[in-house]
Parts: sequence; C-alpha cells; structure tokens
Amino acid sequence: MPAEEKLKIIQDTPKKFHFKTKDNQRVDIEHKDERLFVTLFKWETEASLQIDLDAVFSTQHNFLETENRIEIENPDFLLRVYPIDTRSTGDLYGDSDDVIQCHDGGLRFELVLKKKRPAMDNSLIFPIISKNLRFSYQPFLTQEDIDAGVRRPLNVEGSYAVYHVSKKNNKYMTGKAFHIFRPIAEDALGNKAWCSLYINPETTELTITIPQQFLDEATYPITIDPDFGYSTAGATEYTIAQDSTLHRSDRAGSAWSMPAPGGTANWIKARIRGDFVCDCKVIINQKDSVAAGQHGQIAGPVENLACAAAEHWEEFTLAGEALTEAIVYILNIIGNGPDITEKGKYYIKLDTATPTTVASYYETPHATYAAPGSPWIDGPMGTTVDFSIYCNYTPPAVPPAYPLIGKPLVAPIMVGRPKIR
Amino acid sequence: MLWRLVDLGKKDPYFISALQEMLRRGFDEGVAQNSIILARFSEPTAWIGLRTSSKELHEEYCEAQKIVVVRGDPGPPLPLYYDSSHIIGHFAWKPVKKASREEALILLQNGVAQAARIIGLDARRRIDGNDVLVGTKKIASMGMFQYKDAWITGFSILCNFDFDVAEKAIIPKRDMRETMTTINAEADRDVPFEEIVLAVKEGFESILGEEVIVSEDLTESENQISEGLMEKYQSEEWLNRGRWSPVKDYWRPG
Repeated sequence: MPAEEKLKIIQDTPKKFHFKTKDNQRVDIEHKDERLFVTLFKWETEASLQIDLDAVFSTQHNFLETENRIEIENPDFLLRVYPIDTRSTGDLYGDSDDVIQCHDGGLRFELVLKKKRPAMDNSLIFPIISKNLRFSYQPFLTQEDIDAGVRRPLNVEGSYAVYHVSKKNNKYMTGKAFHIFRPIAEDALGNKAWCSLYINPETTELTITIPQQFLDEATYPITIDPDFGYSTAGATEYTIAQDSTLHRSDRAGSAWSMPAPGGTANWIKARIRGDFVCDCKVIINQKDSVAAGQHGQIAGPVENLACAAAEHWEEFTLAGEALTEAIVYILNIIGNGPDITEKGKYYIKLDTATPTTVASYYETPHATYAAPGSPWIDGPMGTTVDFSIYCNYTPPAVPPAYPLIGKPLVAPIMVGRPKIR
Repeated sequence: MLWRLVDLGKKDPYFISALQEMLRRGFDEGVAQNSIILARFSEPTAWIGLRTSSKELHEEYCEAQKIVVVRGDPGPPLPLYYDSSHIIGHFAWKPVKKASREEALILLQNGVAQAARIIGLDARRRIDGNDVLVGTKKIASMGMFQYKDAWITGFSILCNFDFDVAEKAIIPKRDMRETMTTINAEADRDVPFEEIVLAVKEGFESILGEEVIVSEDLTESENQISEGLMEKYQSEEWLNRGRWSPVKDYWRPG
C-alpha cells in the first residue's frame, strides 16, 4: 500500500477527515454538532489538542478536494480549514527578518467575517481540550533582549509554544509538539493587524482578540488566520557565539529529570544556525551535584568543527556515559566566539517555557570555549526556556523472566495430558 | 549584462539606506542591472546596520546637531558618519559565471583604486582587507554580501571628511584619524564631484574592459521599489529595533 501523501486531506467518513504532517503526525477535522472540530495529535495519540471552532454553525460543510480544504459557512461567517506547508515569515507577512517556520507543516483555519457587526465582541473564544501538553506564552522582546542578540519573529511574539507536559529526549526529542503563531487580521484592501492570542491557565479556551480599532476602520470582509505549525525546534534564538572583536562565547542548556530506568547516552542534537560556520561543543552536567549552582561534568565536551551556517540539527556523538534515573541533568552547548567574523553571530533555537519547567541555564557573556568550566558554575535563568537540545539514550536491557537458577517464575502452560508413570 | 553607473547626486538619507534592499528586490523582480550607484547624503547622517545598535552612537549629540540616524539592511558593520562631502556607493553584480566573494571584492576594490589613480593618487587595494589605501590610510572601504547568485554591497569614497563631528556622533572602534584619509587631502585640492564620478566610470571601464553607461537616475521600476520601502526605513520599529513588517501592532508594550 503506497504511503499516504503528506499534507493532503483524506476523507474517512462523510463528516470526518484527516491529514498527516510531514513528520507523520495526524490532524483530524470533523464536522459534528453543526460545527468543525480540529484535533492536532503528537506522538501518535499520546498528546493532543482539540479545538472547537464554534464561531461558525452550519449543518452543511464543503470538502473542496482539489483545493485541499474544508469549508463551513453561514450568512455572517465563512470558515476554511486546511493544511499548510513550511513557509517563511517574509512570505507570510513581510517580516524584514525572514525565518523558516512550520518545518513539518501544520494546520490553518481562516475565519472570514463577511460584514461589520457593530454589536460583535472583538474576541473570539474557542473551547479547547488538551492532553499531555503545556502551553508556553512567548512574550514580546524588550529592547534589552534585542540588544543582547535575542531574535524572535514578530509572529512568535505573543504566541504559544506547545510542549509535552513532562517528556523529552529519545522519540520525544525536544518535547515540542507544535507552535500556535500569533494570528493576523487582514481586510479587503490588504491592511493587516496583529491579533492577540490567549490560552487560559486551565487550558480550556483559546481566545483570539482582534484590535477594536481595526474592526471599526476595516473594509470588510476581514480574515483572521491562526497557524498551528508542527516543528520540534524552538522559534526564538539566543546567541552561543558572537564576533571575533568581542570574543564572546555563550553557554546554554536546559535541565531535565532522567526518567526510569535511566540509560546510556548515545548522542546529543542541537538546533543551531548562524551568520557563518562555527565550532561548537556539547556537554552534559549534573544539576547542583557539586553545590547549589555548581554542576558536575558527566559527559563531554564533545566538539564538532565548522557547524554549518544554515539552520540544522547538529549531532554530537557521546561515549555511552551512564545517565541515572531521577537525576537532573543539563544538556548544554557552547559556541566558539573567536570563530565568528564581521559582527556575525551563531545561535541556538529555543522557546520561553512555562514557569513549572525544570530550570535552564545561560552563561553569558564570558563562557570559555577552549576549556568550558567544570564544574559548570551558573545559576538558573530568571525566565526558564526550553533550549532546542536533546539526547538519545539507550535504556538498560530488560532482564530475563527466568532467575539465575533456571526455573521459570511462572508455571509453564501444559499442552495435552501429562504422562502418568 | 551591461554595466551602468548611476550618479544620484544628493539624496534623502532614508532613500540611500534602502538602496541595498532595493537592489536585492530588483534582482528578484528581474529589473536590476550590474551597477555602480553613487550618491551623497543630503543631510548629515549616522548610518547603522542590521548588526549595529543606536547605542554605538552618541545619540544625544546626534539629536542636538540634527544628525539623521538611518539603518541599512544589512548596512554597515560599524556605525558610520556621513555628510554631503563624501560619496556613498552601491555595487551590484550578477556574474555570468559564478564568482567568489573574493573575486567580487577585488573587482570593486580595483575599480575604486583605478578611479583614485585617474584623479592622481597613488592608490592600491588592501590585499588582506576591504579597503582602498593611499599610503597606509584608507580613502575607501567596502564589504561584499552574496544575494542568491549576485553580489551586492555599499561602499564609501572619502572625498572630504569632518573628523571632529564624526568623533562626536559615533563611537568608533579605532582612531579614525590614524586609519582614514580623504581624496582632497591626498590630492591637495578640492576635487569636484563631477571629476570623481567620471574617474569612477573610467576606472571601472579599465578594470572591466567594457563600457560603463552613465545615467542620472534609477529606472522607473527601481524608483517604485524604493518608494515602497520608505515606510519600513522611516519607521520607529526599524530604526530602533532593526525589525519591521507591514502588519500593524496594537499590542506591543511600551
């Protein structure tokens, strides 16, 4: 049976549809109770987000197969739901800082407000049901952030990064499920305005608020189109190396608690990019193992030379170091500042995390590349982040069911009548 | 593709700061040409780039002296001060056969060095750097950026230079008087801009081995692109934060 085409809507029943993302995650679209429901899955069905698109009610829907979208309409609204492919911020909304997003594709719903409704609330509230996910708000950058070299696209400011509530590494990678980008409202003349996005702490509602001034002044119809983009990489960047005149290396890492039964470390991957190639090192430290804020070195440094400038997952091979369950480790990376020329920078991707996440660390501006500090002496960041760095480890082999003396622990299944001697 | 030299004369600082992006878009839209574009800032200007910050300027001095602050894309790697007494150039080249950054840089350096020699200066390109030198000091500096299969950059020709104002407007990394000189100082006369423009034309013709057509303006398409970029280059968001999009933001704090 041929593999299912990615990002193509398949009709499962008259009212149920789905498509697969480029990393083979399932997105369901269902017409029930006179409206559309979309469900984004990750890690098969272990994690999911269902959104009830109850802004538009209709008994009818339209599956436009050649245009690869589903529509539902009433006199006031038109709702379109469809898969989206990888795209850039420059193409999407004319960002001067052009960045690729939705590496594995995603979903968009387009809500068209056909005419002005003076009594209409400028907030659209959609009920949601989430499973095993945490929603991390990405705040607006301050001038201080920008001067420090932090880069966050305009549609990531005020957006949500969505991660597994507790798991990362191995098949979970960074733990990131997808990203809910800040929506844009556009009127019939092409005037555009950012909407605000809010997910309540109980994660029962997703609210999109359109600027009232825009609603009042727009030429109708208006379209609002939030994107849900699948990607395992963060949408923001911090520097790990800056140009040679500053000789600045930065060391960045996220802590996590090793789950049972522990394992041996195979490799680390980090999502990095820069203005030029750059040497990088990765290390595993054990959080607070020496003293509070002093993290003993467990693995590495492992160095890769000339990591490519284009954004990519860089793999660093480890040496099978033991990782013990319930221990908190810090996977971290440092770039070679003197390697960078002409005011360039080298970056690691990340997302701002929810406050309940285990700590993150960022030693700047004078981390030492040649001999990274061991133990690593650094306090946790005031604002926790999820750096896009994860490891692959092998859990210990499962011991056999038979004990050493060779007798089975459970009675064998008898077949046939036993012989009577 | 033919070569042209466009002498824009004095131009608005925001217009000049947008020229590199205009050239990139011009190549994307198929309306760009191999070009040397010369202009002079109509007002005293502090020019910063994508990777520089207004914190590398003496902002209060610039404001008090009405020095316009503009940001390029990518613009200069260090903050620069310009007034109308020296020339800012833009170079755009889409080679028929793939060329390296070094080849593009050498072409530009040699063209400018030859122009300086035509004026009567003992100029040469810096072998291990981005400048054109007379003696040990630079009279011109340039970078080189690749855009798809084209090479684009800005460069400056120091015809005359107000070191006093520059040292008060920007925070230089090195002593400017130690590293820079001017055409007028080295020629020991006020060299007219018309003579410099003609020398640039002949200098590049000598290096390229082909005629360089002179015009006094960009094409209509290029001017339209430039006009469309003004909203970005004049915006507070671009000047202060180095970021911009046409989407209005009612939510940004502060």
